[in-house]
Amino acid sequence: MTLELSSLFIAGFLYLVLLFLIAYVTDRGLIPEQWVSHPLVYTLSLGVYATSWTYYGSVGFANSNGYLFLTIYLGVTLAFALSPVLLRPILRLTSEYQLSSLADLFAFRYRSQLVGMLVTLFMLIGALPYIALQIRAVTQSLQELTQEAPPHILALGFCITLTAFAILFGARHISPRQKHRGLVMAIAFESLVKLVTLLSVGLFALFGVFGGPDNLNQWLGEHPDAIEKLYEPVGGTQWGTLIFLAFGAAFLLPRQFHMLFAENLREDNLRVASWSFPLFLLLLNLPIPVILWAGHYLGLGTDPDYYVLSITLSQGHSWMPMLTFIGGISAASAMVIVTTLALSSMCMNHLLLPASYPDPRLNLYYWLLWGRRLMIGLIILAGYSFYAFLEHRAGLAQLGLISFVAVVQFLPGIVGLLYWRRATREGVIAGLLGGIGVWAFTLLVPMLQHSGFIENAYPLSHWQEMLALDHWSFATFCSLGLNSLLFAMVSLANRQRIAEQQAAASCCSSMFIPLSGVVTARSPEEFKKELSVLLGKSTAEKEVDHALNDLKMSPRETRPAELRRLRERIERNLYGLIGPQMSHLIVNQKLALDPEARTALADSMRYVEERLAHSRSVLHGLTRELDNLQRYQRQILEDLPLGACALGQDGEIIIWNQAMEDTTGIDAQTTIGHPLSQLPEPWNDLLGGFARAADSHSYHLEVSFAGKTRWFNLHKAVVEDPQVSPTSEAPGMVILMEDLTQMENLEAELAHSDRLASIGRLAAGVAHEIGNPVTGIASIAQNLKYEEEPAAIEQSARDILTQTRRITDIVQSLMNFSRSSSADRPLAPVALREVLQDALALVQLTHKHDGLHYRIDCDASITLNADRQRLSQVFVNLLNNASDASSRGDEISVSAQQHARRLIVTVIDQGSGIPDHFRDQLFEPFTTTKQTGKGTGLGLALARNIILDHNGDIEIDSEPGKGTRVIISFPGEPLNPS
Amino acid sequence: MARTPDNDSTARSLVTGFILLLFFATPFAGLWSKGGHAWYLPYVLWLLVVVLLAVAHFRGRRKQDP
Repeated sequence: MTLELSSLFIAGFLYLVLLFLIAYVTDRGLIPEQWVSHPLVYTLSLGVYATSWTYYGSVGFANSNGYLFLTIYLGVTLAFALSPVLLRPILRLTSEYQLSSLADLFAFRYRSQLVGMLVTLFMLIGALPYIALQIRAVTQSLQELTQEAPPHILALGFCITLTAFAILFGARHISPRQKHRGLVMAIAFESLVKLVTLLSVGLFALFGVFGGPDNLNQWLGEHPDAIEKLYEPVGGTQWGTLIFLAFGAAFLLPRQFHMLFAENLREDNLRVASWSFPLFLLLLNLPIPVILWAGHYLGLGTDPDYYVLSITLSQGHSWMPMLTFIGGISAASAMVIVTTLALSSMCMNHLLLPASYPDPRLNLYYWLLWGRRLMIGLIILAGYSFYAFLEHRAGLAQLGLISFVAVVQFLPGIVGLLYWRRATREGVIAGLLGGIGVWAFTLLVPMLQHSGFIENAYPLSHWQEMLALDHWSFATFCSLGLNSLLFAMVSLANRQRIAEQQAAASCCSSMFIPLSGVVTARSPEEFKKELSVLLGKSTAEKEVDHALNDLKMSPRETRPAELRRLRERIERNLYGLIGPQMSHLIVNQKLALDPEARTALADSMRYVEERLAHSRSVLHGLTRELDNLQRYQRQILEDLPLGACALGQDGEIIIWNQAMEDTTGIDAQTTIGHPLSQLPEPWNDLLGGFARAADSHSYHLEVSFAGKTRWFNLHKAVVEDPQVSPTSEAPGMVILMEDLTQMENLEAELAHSDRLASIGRLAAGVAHEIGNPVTGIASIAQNLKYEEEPAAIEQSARDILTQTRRITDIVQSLMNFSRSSSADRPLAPVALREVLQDALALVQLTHKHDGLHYRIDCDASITLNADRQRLSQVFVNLLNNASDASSRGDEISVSAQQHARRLIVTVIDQGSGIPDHFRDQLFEPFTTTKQTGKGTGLGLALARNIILDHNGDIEIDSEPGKGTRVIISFPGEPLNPS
Repeated sequence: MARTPDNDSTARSLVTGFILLLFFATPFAGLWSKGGHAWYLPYVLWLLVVVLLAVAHFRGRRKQDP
């Protein structure tokens, strides 16, 4: 049975139209997002690995080499098993830096345009036989089905259709930020078609050809050599080599790299694919032996590579051959499309752009988009030319394996990229040149000789026999051995450049190390202006706006650290657009860094903390422990009940903790990165002034804020940046802010309580003192009734007035003392002697009958700048204490002496003194030597606070049994009482 | 050091990779390829590896879920 060429052409064309539709509806958002981003779709899209070689060639490979065909998939399973240490680190790098191809990754790590160029060229050379293989598989399958040689125009038509599809759905967006969801969905659908078709053919072979498993087993029993032949190559030299080659190809082939990393939507999809993709490959390969045996059973005389088609065709099935043909189209088209897309991006970024950078007046986006589309066409055309020249002289598996050996030449480079910081660009270039040279010599040249392009090639069989290796193992061993050796030796022989060291640190440790320095452009607007010189005005504006949007940054941003972040984001966004090396050059040239600017510590903190937050899940061992420690210490700072603010070397704020936020009402996001001078009032003066001052401590600073008065103690310490010289002229600084407002209010309340307590104690004396004049007034009033002499009446009235004045004075003193006071009352000149006399008058009210002698020795001219009422409280407290401690006949003296810069007031008593064990806690609140009920224990504590508020000092010198001397000193020059 | 679910999952995956190498790329392969075993034996061994990878994935994910 044969099929009509026209019907096959129409079926193939309709199938490609269906793919267009799937891609179109996905791109239009008509398929729900959860389906598009589902791990199953991602897994199926990775099925692009299974090309015509798998679909058709596996049976032929199994026929000639038994289970050797499984190695091509076991190697992939190994690569996915090692996903945590191999694929996931690459995925993180590619998504973090928007690297869309292996050439981008190499150029980024080794900081070399030449490396990117070499990778692209070698990829291109390695991929062309593979593309040719797909075209050949399609034309060959047509020949199998129609039994006639298909015209070349059909192969060309197939290529043109694929070019159109790749351009329409694979080159819609120029930046890797925007994923090609439609393309991924279409490729996933193609994988599903491949799987379903191949399983259907397997079932057809089992039930349609053999008539069921029992018959198959019976046939196998009759032909034991069928199974023995399959097992024959297991464990041989080729076996291990092909597993190794497939291991490399699993992620290094351009199409695999593109689907695995560039089109990945979520890292979790890769985790799922680590088991689901090997399962997909297992299912795909399960029917291969059955199809092979069915071909043998039927005695088909056709090429075993196409048994998949032949067995359905030979049985005269109506639709199975057509379905199988569609499966083959799926396998070939998916490979060609994705490989071409990946290669086109590499060619643009690493061949075309460095060779001819477009005029900035052109729209760069359009230029890149159309350039990529042109590349797609050229690559497919090159693949077609390769197919046309090669004709049918090489098997499918041979063509595929040649590509596999080519791509594993990138293994040393990628291992070095992930795990060897010392690897250099010179090393990777030398390794690649050596490896690809040997590859060309051992595989490409013999293939060209076999195809008739060249007549003579150096015979390798002698060398193979010497090493006892087969063709593939020999080529792999020699090429990769030389590659690795050169890579290691040349890397060790060369010194790494700084940019390479930084890129190596980023790649090897998952820690993204920021560069040092400050961007010379000072605002996003300047960024646009600078970049427009090379990118063109509209592209520069779009890229800067895009980066601002990515970082949720204001267009008016001017903070150096934020501008550094913006610069880095722009560079990364450009990686995906024009390649890492070109992007690096443009950004370095137009957004240059001033390396002299000191921002290292502040930036490092911000960047490292940001990166740690992103990559916490990948930290292991010591780095994870250090991260935990860092977080703990950061939390301590955050939870510190004192306001903490750290400044970097350039004076910008790098830490602003929670207490600082609560106290000032300014959140950390607003302050970090700004200098103290840009803080709102009054914090800019308070903190900025303190930071500039020479003193390390500043006490009791009064600040009016939001209509209230607040008090603070400030402390600061210099913090040396360990990365710079310890003698740096502008070291960092940490400022601690202690809010005293609550304490002040509490003290005011305590003072008031103490006054009330004192009033209570004074009450008896006051009552007695008032009682005397009242008695006098009563007597005078009594006598007044009998007085008739006007002069006597007048005298009586005067006496009454005198007595009432006396009462008024006493009441006034009491009122003055008891009135609530606040610490923020302004200070005014006060005559010290008057204060002392007032205090003494009050104290005497209580101690009038104690037989004590009081003496005040104070010049009337001595004046003090003070709060009179609070000062009065000091002396009332001190005189009360002295009176309580004294015995009848003792003298209590108060003297005041004005020295040059100090006023010294001394209160001396001859009382019982203070026991030794009390001396250390004299000024602590609620400490008293008096009996319960006689004192609150607040007197001395308050007196000391009031004196400190007046910038004074108090000392107590006491000897038990001999008396106590209290010495108070106030600062200040003698004041003129007038 | 506390072991994280991600570390556990990674370790399981790597051990599975080692098992795959043991089955298929060491002289151990000679044991199952000789002696007239069923034709599907390599697929069974392969499936075992896939199941181990799936277990590594699902156990890691279950531990990560709150």
